[in-house]
Amino acid sequence: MLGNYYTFPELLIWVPLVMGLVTLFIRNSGGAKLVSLFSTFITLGVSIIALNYSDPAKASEFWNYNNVSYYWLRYLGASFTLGLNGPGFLFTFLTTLVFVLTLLISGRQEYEKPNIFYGLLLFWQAAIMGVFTALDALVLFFFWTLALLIPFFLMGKWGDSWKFGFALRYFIYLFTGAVLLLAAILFLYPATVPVITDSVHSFTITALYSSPFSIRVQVWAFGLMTLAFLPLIPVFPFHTWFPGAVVRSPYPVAMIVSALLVTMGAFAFVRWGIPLLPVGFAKFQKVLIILALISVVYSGFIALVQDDLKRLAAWASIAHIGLAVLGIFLGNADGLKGGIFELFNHGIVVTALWMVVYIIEDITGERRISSLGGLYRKAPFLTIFSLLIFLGFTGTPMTGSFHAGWMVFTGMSGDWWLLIPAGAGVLVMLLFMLNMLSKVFFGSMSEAVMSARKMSLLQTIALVVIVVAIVGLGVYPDFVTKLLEIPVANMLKGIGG
Amino acid sequence: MNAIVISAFWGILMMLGGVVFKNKYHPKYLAITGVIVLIALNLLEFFTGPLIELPVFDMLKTSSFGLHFNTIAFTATLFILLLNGKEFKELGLHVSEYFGLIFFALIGVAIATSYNTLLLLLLGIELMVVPLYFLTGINYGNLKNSEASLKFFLTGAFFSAVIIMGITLIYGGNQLGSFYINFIALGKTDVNPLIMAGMILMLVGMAFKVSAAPFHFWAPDVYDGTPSVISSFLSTIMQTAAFVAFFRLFKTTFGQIQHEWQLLIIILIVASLLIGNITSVFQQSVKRMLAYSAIAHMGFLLMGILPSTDLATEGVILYIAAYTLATLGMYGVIGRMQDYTLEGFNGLGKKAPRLAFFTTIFLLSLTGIPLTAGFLGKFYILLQVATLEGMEWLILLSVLNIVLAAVYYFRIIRAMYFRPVTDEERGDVKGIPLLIFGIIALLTVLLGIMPDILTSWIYY
Repeated sequence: MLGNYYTFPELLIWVPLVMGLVTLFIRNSGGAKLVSLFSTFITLGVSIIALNYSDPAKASEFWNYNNVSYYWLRYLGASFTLGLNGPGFLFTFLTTLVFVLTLLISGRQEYEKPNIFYGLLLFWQAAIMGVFTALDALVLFFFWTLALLIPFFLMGKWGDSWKFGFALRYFIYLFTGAVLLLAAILFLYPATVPVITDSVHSFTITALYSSPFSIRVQVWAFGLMTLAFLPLIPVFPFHTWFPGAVVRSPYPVAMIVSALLVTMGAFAFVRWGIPLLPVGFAKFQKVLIILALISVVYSGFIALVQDDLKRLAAWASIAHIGLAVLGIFLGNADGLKGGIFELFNHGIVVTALWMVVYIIEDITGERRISSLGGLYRKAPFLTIFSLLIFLGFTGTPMTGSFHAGWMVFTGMSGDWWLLIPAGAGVLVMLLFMLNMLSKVFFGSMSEAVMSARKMSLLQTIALVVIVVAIVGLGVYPDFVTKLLEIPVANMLKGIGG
Repeated sequence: MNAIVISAFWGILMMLGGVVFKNKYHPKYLAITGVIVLIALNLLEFFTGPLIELPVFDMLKTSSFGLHFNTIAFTATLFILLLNGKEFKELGLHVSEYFGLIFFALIGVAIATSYNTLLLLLLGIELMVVPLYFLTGINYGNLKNSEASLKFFLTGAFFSAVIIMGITLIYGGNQLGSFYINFIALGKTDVNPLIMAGMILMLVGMAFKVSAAPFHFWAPDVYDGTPSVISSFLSTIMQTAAFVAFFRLFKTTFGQIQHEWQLLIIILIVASLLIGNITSVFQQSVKRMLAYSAIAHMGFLLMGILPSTDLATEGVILYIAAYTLATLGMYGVIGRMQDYTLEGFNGLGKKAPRLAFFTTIFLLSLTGIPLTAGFLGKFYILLQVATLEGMEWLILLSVLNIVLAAVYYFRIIRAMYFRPVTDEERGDVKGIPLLIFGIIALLTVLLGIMPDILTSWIYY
């Protein structure tokens, strides 16, 4: 079988990397699209096969399939260690799925220098995979920075306008976070006990989990990690880069930033921040919960008054992920499980939302709500699917968000001061979604809608896939929750995640 | 030892060759041959020992660290000679003398990395900078160039005097009355006011030679005023060789009394990082910006003096290699630009895609982005500083300085790729320079993944 020769985390990184290199040499636009789509399908296949080896009860049996470690800078105590476990399976699967959908949906768009555009997209996929599979702090920092660097080029070169310098602003903002992550790693390093015998200290996650950090180190390192991760998620008040950057990015980049890059930030809390530094987390927990709550409510209200659909999707994304990190910051079993589940959902429903926005702009050439209306007569199929997607976004029963939201709210039970704003946040989410739905799809037909063209077949397929995923998670939430039981239990026991 | 003899010999050969050669290119070929011979013999000494044993009375003592650095410096010289074909044509009649002076400067480099007495330290530093005083003024029709040369000479001579004063005080202050750095090697007890004063004077003088703030004022004017070939020689080989001399001095002679000088070095580090990076942000000329950022890089390198572990030495070597490669690559790029302000780089990605690609790699390395040597160099040093007590604030400060560096380096990347072309003039790099740029970029990435291929040799 596949896993006997190559481990899954390796394949998930190497396939997009190598195919990205191949894509760089295909000058032809159609060829570049085809090769990159092919590559994302291969990675999707790999991650689906990997899911067959994901049963946590048989983790030791499948160890060789899911973990790999090479010597690398061994005298520093680092090693190139990759591994998949609970949430790792979920988010690598999410990454592959989102990339497939992104490429499917934007198939009609032509980009200048397509070979470099699609090549960079595939490199980006490899870097994001690296973040989700890294089990060594230095490897994490490597992939983290690369995952932030590549969109700088994508945004700047293929973005809407170069005048504002937003790509540089985006990069400087998040690179500051990345170097603070580096500082946090450097603070932890001298206090670690090595696993590899060649070095005095170590960067591997097992060494970090088993090292006794003093309270001072924990507070400092967790504070720095928080400053590194919060801007990426993005949580109020560190969200200012986000709407501007995604609005001016090309659609594939905007979709991946708001579905995967932000997930990376929250995932880093689950894998590194919280289980590694429980005392530090306890010190900051209240502040983090309050920031997440503000994030949900505040960005929900801002989404309510947006006219630009892209901007609305950006603010909706901040509101939605706010709910997910709120669950994670609650720090109890239900909250963590619900939060991680909601994070997975976030990737799917936000991709779906971006797809709807993209298709609307693609077929009508317009993305301002005020100049749209009555789209249901032109695109009934899109209308039905958009309705399902919006319901999935707001957490209606029979969708994945419902289960996740239920668990998050169960996690807050007893704390009325949390429940009221969080509930209000969900209500606002419902409100802005319905508002957009009624104004865009119903009412009288506008000029832009009259001349709308048809959806492409690939776009239809992508919509069907994403709606099946949303409903599927609602019908069969065990797909996610069974992977989370053991990691969450371990996190709560303080022995890693 | 080989390097000193050969570069002296070759320097004289070049001087005499000036009489014989009629063709302008022949001196260049001879010089390139000379540097290759120099690298080969230096490697031979590294692996098997010197060819010629000179009676130096133990005043020179080669170490694997010093020889290793020599290899880097000589290879960098080779790259500079091969990269800058066009610039040499503008030198006029003095082509052979020009190359001869470079070889004389290389003697200084070889002495500065292997001195064993304070006198030879002075001799090495002077041999290195005196030819460079001439070289900075090589384009003597140009006023800016003459200003740079004069400024460099006057300030350089003054600070050499400061170093001499420091050496004198240390000579008078130690009980043995010796210049040998091993004999002077101070214990924790025998510090007296004379020694302390001498040490501070030497610190100031050497800080000037490595252009660490607040003794950096000469550097931007000099680097900006001279042709970019000479700037690249100054800011890579001269600065790093002076740093190696600095490093050896403080690790041997003053190694035991680190608590006395640690604070002074930290002040130099903080000042260099902040002044270098903040001033760079406001520069419009890329050449001047590189000069200011060189100050910041020296701040980072100086951090390598604080911890005394082998890994810190590895980090210093790696940082020197990364900085040298990327900087001489950048000066090579600047030498090819008609307009080396930030606007001049607009749309370079379209006009000269290969040159823009190499520039991007060099800039990423200078910033310290993973997958390039620049990151691992910074990382090795920071990691060793992290193991010291009470250095958290310094680490925070230096990582935030990486962000400041990203601001101005990434502006060039933005100009190259995101801004439209201002003039339609095309001219991409090709031929031997393309090969050399490729090698430099490849080495930069390779050292960013496998630094061991370079650093493990210091244990040889």
